[in-house]
Amino acid sequence: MTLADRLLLFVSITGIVLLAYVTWQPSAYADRVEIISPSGRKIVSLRHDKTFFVTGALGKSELRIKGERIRFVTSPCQTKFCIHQGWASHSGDLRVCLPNKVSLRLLGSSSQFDSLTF
Amino acid sequence: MALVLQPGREDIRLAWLAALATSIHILESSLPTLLPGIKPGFANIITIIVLLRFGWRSAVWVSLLRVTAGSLLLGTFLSPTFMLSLTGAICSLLVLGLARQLPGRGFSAIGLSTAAALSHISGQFLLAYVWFIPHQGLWGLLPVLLCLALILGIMNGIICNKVIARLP
Repeated sequence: MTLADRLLLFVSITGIVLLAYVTWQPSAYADRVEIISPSGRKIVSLRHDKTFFVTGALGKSELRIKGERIRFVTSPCQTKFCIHQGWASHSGDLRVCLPNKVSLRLLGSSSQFDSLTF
Repeated sequence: MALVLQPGREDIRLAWLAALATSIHILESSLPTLLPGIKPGFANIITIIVLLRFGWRSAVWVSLLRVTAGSLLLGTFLSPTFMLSLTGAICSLLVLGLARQLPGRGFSAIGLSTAAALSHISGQFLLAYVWFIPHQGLWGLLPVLLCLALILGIMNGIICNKVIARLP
């Protein structure tokens, strides 16, 4: 290996470590949630604890907001993946129940997201 | 009057090398992968060897011919897979071109291969981020991808050295 090789390895390892440090910071906490269901989308604040129902394609999904976190509590779907996903608290987090067509997207004050699907 | 294109010695050599690279590319695509999108990039060994022996222009020909012919044979021509492949190839060729400008002893095959692997994955990542999945969460994957590229780049560089040592 030449000097340039060693330098390249040193710089790239340092760069990767720094990048990992920067990108693996936990994201900011969310303060509201966007709920998308067959009946449309609505934004709910996470400031107030409550338990409520959202009507999906199969039936009613029960959602619970507690301590600025939100989760699925009961769901009419078969797999219950949505319930097992647990609490969501960070901006950008997603909780989705595909069978019931209900999805939650947490929004923070300083976040921007977009996603393309195809 | 028919126009006849006479291939020169260099054209034939490039065609052979591109065919070799394409074969490796296709064999490699049938290997199972640990992570989707991660390939060892053995075809790039040919690019590095061509770069060291015949210069940058030849390496560009071999690499771009390999991407095009490989995608035609695999049926991914002009698909997102092809676009990612092409972007990676262009990025690594540009970086290799710059790396060859270095005075003195410069980079050995290991350095060249590592630089190519890192720029390859960076280019692909940026295209994927801009075009397919513009989600902030994708950035968390970049250190992992770069780390793998680093390891595979060094590995390919070592293979390059072994191959070059056996070449006449």
